[in-house]
Amino acid sequence: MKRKRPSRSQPLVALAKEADRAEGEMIRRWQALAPAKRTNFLRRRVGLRASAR
Amino acid sequence: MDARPLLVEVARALRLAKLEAVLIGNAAAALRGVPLTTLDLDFLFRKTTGTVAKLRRVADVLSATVMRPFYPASDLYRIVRDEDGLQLDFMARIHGPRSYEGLRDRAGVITIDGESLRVAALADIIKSKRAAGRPRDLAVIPILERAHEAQAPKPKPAARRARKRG
Repeated sequence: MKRKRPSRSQPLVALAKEADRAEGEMIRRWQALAPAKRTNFLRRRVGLRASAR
Repeated sequence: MDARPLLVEVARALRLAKLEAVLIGNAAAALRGVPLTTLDLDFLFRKTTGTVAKLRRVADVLSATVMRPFYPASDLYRIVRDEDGLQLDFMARIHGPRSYEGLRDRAGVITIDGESLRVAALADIIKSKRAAGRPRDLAVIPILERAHEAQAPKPKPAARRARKRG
């Protein structure tokens, strides 16, 4: 039997849902920390135009 | 990179210089529980002759330099330290929240390693980003709002009904 190819939009919809879920999870994790522990947010200047975490 | 040593150093410098300022921007949002990153620390302060002198004292304690604003009307004072790229922006006014006193009263205090730092309320940070309207400010509004919603206690069903009726 010929397998039906998934449409292009299907994985993209799932990807958007996954990214949304991951963002919510990241917020929950960050908020679960005590305020004084939420300090890993600084990016560092490594060149004239670049930065890194 | 962990901002803890820097936050402690800056909070200490503010205390020694007796300068009252409120942390705003992405750094404040991160401390308020929003997963964001930033390159610098932004503060709102009340500009008087005395507080500008205190800014110089803050820079001295940090072994840094106060840069004069390119546009004097902007009231933006930048403290920079070349050796490690430290950058602190002190603003006398920002888009959105109208008074320093109001923003300060709604702010909270976070204590890190014994040093206290005033941190703006998330609602004020969102208001200021929206009012500033620059693409980089608008880009972070969805995550700020989502974190704010996750933080805010959900209204009880009775309260929700009452609000709907009223």
